[in-house]
Amino acid sequence: MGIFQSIEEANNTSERLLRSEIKNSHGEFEKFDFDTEEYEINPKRKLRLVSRINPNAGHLRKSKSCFTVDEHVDETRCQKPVMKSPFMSNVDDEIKKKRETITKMTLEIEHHELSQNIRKPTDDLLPDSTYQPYHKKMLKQENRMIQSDIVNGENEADRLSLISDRLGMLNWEVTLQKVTKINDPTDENEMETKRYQTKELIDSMLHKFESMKKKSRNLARRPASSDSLLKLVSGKDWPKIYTRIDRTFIPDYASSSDEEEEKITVEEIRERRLKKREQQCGGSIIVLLSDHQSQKGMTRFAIVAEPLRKPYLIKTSTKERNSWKNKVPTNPKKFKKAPRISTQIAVKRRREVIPLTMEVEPEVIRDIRQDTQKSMKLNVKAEEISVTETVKSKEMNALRNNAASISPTLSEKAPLGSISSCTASQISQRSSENVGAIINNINPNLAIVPSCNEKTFVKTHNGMKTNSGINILPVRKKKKV
Amino acid sequence: MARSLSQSLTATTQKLKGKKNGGKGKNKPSAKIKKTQKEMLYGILNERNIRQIQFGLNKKFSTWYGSAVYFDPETKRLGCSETKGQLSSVSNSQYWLDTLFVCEYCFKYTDDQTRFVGHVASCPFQYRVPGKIKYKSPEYTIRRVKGSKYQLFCQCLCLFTKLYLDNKSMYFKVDHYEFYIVYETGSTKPMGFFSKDLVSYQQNNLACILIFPPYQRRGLGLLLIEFSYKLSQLEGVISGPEVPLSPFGLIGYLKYWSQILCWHLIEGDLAHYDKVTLEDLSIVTGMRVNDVILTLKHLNCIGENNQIYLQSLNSWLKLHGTKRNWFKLKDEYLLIDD
Repeated sequence: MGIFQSIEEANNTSERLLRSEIKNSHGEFEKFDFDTEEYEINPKRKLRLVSRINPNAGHLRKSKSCFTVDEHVDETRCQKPVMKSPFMSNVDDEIKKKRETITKMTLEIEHHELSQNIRKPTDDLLPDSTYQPYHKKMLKQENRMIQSDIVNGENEADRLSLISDRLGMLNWEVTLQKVTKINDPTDENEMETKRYQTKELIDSMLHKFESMKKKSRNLARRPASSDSLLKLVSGKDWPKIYTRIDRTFIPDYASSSDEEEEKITVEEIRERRLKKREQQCGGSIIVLLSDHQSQKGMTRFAIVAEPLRKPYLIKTSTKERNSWKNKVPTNPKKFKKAPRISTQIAVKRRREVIPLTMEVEPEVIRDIRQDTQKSMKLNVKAEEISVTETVKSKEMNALRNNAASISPTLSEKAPLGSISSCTASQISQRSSENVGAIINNINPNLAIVPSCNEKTFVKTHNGMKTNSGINILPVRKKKKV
Repeated sequence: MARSLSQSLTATTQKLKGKKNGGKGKNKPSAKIKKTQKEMLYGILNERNIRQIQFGLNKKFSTWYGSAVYFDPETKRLGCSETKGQLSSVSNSQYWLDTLFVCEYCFKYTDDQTRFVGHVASCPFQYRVPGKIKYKSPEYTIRRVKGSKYQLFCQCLCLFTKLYLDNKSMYFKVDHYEFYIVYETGSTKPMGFFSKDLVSYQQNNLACILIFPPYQRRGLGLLLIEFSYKLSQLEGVISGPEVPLSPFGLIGYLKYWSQILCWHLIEGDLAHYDKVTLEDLSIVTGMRVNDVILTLKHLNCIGENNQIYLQSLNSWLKLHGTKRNWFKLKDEYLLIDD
């Protein structure tokens, strides 16, 4: 009971510490003390098991005799064990006191029958609604208390986290002396050792605290649902199902009460639950192990993997072996050796990289060719334009010829038109002889006009070839017409 | 190792579970509540305020401790009572209530006998037991009841427990707890229970335990303690109960610890070892190192030269007559991993 007392004292000290923390936020906290042994006996020390009796066995006999003697005599005799082994008798004394307390606390159960004259009511006379207002009110009160403790816990965790961080900084010596009991600050070995111990202890405490918080969050996030186990099942992570999973902390998981199991045996309950798990998560896997030394094909052991449980090894019975063998799919007795497939090596094809020194000339050549092609295209276009213009001019000449052939029947204005056209041709021809002929004889004019047109055509055509400035003239003719 | 500061965070985080007494200035209660809390810590009284309990239709027994959480602090009447008038006859008496009627199936409570009798006749828990079966033997069945699912039932259970446990201070915040209730197989009357905190900082496997008065002295406490260690061993943690222990709890745990150590040293995994460490004992038994040390001292088998005398263990076994029936719990009836 001494340990329990020390724990109680520690708890009381913690409560005082919390109070001092609240009253005096700048007060000093108790320091870590690594010089004091945590346990009375080193847990790692080997203890020899001795088959002989304990030399202190007399204490047990005397203790036994204490229970049978009256109270006064007990005190007299109990003094002797106290002198011999005070620590051992302390435990026994505490237990003795506890037993005496229990004896006094024995309750007498009185058989007190209440009358049941009332007819069996159809409704519950103490419905849940009777208790809900009061219980809800009290729950709120408890939640407020809990919230205060949660805040205190978070503050404590933050403080420890800060200490852990500071122990990793350059001035960790100062921090260490504030939180851990140091015998000799100048002893580097002691400082390093206790620094490591302090940091390790704080980290383990914080780890436990975070684990607790995580559990609390998972419990808080649990709407009624039974499909969350399906989220664990996936093509990639299916082996995770074949291990123990604590479903209490699975988010969105709510187990169902099994009222139907009240009237069935334990084995039937197990089968029922296994079937349910297999439906939810997947089937069981059984691997039969063969022992070649006993009999050929005889299987004595098997590995069983059930969903949501750790796999286990069992020794199989004959009935089980036969049952499971029937479920195993048939395999060929002999395997044929497949011929070796010839090696086929795929070669990746890539464009040949042209050296840097070679890249410039081909580009230049390409540029020149492109320029040549462009000029040729331009010439072709020019020819096309010229051909088009030629065709148009021919058409116009034809119209003019028709007009000239009709001129004798026209009015006097017709010759003027002819004269105008001849004038234009004369100007273009720049020939004085032709001008004279036209003035003297009209008919020759008509005969000359076609020839002039032909010349005009040829000259015009030639002019286009020899001088690009001539190309403008047909356009002018169009305008005049 | 530094225990005090470790316990500081331990105490702080333990109170995250809500096991906390109302403190001055920590909360912002009203003046009346504050005044009330000066007189009594949350739920705890120095003397009994309920004379006796009518448990079901045919059992009556007295209370051990007082409990204020059943009552409205102003009127000193049951908080769920529809009548808010103050009783002048008992206003100055030690007892706030002479008889509290408690249903033995669902633990609902009242001070009205007529309504109580009518309720017991039609209590739904009489026909349909809550929770999931975790252990089923021909004698006993243990069911797990989640506090988040059966909130009212668990709250009423905690209120009743306070009348027989001195250091309990959690009554209504039951979401983070699981309750393991023992029944006789085929019966719907709870005989005892223990609660387990799911977010315990110290990873305790048991928060509080109570065998109801009509069913005490049957070894049910030992059964539940064994079961709690089975749960923690399945989780793979070295664990133990929440401290401090009540007198009944201490005696029960010492008996179990003694049995389990004797078993492993004489018959179990460590039977043929010449030397063992406390860590080995802790791992094999699932007990904390401090509990192992305490038990070895109780068994009077640890010598000055740090030797363990096996003959002393045999003597203890003969004295307590447990060599034939080591444990009450049978592994073949466990359903904790299904």
